Amino acid sequence: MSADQFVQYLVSGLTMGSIYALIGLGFTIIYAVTRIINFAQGEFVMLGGMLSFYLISAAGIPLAPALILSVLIAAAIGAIMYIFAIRTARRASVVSLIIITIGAAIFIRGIAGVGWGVEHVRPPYFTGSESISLLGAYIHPQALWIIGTTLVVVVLLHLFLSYTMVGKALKACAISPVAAGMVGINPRAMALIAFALAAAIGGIGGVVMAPSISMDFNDGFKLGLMGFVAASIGGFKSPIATVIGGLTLGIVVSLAVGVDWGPFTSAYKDAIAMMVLLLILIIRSGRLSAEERES
Amino acid sequence: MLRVENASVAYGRIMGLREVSLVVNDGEIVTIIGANGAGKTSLLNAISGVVPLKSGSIWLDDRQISGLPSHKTVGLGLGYIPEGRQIFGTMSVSDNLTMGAYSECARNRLSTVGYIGWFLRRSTVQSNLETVFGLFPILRERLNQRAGSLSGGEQQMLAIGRALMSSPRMLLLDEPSLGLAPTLVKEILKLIVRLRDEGLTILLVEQDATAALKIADRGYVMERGRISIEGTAKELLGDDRVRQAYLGKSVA
Ligand SMILES: Nc1ncnc2c1ncn2[C@@H]1O[C@H](COP(=O)(O)OP(=O)(O)O)[C@@H](O)[C@H]1O
Ligand SMILES: [Mg+2]
Repeated sequence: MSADQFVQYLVSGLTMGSIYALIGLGFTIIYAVTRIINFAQGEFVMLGGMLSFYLISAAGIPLAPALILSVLIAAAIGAIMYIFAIRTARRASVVSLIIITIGAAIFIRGIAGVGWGVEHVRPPYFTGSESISLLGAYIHPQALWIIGTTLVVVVLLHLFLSYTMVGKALKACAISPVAAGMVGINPRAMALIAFALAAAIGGIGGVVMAPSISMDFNDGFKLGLMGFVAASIGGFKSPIATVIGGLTLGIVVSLAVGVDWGPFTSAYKDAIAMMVLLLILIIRSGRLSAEERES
Repeated sequence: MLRVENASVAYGRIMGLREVSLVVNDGEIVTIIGANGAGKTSLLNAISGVVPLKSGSIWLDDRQISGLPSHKTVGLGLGYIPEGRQIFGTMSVSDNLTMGAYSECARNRLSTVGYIGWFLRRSTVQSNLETVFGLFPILRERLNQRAGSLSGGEQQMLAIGRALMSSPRMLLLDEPSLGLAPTLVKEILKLIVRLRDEGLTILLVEQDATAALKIADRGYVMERGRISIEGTAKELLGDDRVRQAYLGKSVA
């Protein structure tokens, strides 16, 4: 691989990594506050992307308001999912709640499939498609939107968690919902906020990535899976660990696909990417169980 | 005045509390003594709303508080210092105290999402902070330290300080001296008297029955989820059954 190619793969790795990071953030936020792994997280990404397409093309809403509206609707669906699927089953164990999220994912996907059909959609690029050259690589403007948006989301999330009472209350609830209740924090309100926030961030991911990859109703699962891996690499610990996990995953997969593997022809590229992914997971889970033994 | 009427708590088939009735008048120190597993923590958890009642009722003045979750009873003036302290170990001392003021902040939803500095500048928050630092100067020195890195005694001070940040009228304390050195235990008991003298009402669960009865106005003895003996502190200190079962292992 030449230096130019390397930069090219790095850029595309960063771009995909940003998406994985955004999706992973949703997993981390919900897990921290409720200990639930939300397998509907990818559906919020799908919803963001699909909604933006239909709001722009079918409803004729201008780009910027359509994007914002898509994210808000995704957030509302996250909140509704918490209220009707999770909160009503609050006596259930965490494992049952995780299974409920899988059910919610199938439900959302089903409704999307019935409502929108199976065709792929691709909303317009935010700002054209004339690539910018940088260090010998070509960057699509949408990739800059993706990376930039991720950066903005991460900074805003950090400010929210560190400089508002409710942000700190989310952290307190992540440490102990019982102790949080004793100081006046309502753990169920925090869980609701976590679901809405995670859905909004997932929706933002969907909205910025849809113009680049096109989307259909069925894409939520695999996007969710990549976000789950990103969050796993980060150990479901902190937003920043998740972002590093997402970027690492994006770059590793991108480079693994780009390397000349000799006898392994390009047909095996995806398999190589999956192997790299598995390797990260195995290393990570080894470390996780070691940590578990310590605590 | 806090009034508990025939309160029962069940954990599945296990009864934690069986038809307990008690009263804590304003300005009193009332202590609950009893062996491990007698139901003392269940009682405080039920009052604060951490666990629901199976039957019975709990009243704060004329307001029924049974059925309210703990995040609501804090707002009504019940500060809870739970067994094992339950501070937020990975947060700073400063953030722990800040969280103590959450119920104050939550009265106005908007202020929970506004810049935290604006809320912390409020006069009630500042005066509560000054009170806490007046009682525990060491906390001011440790403000930026991780709460989990404090010593046991400092963590107990933080737990009390956190509860005081909610401007409580009444404190529920569950074995505040557990695991502390004898000198620190005396400090904590002195502090409890001082808080009462400043107008707080105190419900104290304590392992060290003699020490607790020495500072208390009245006491209740619990056995297997029930109240078996009640009386003024003096009566209980002189009661043969109490002396045999609970006294005589005092550090005070
Ligand atoms: N979360 C719980 N689940 C099941 N049983 C419990 C629980 N908490 C307390 N108990 C039981 O309730 C009884 C009273 O416990 P507790 O209130 O903790 O007593 P104390 O504080 O006086 O030691 C004990 O038999 C205890 O085993
Ligand atoms: Mg106890």
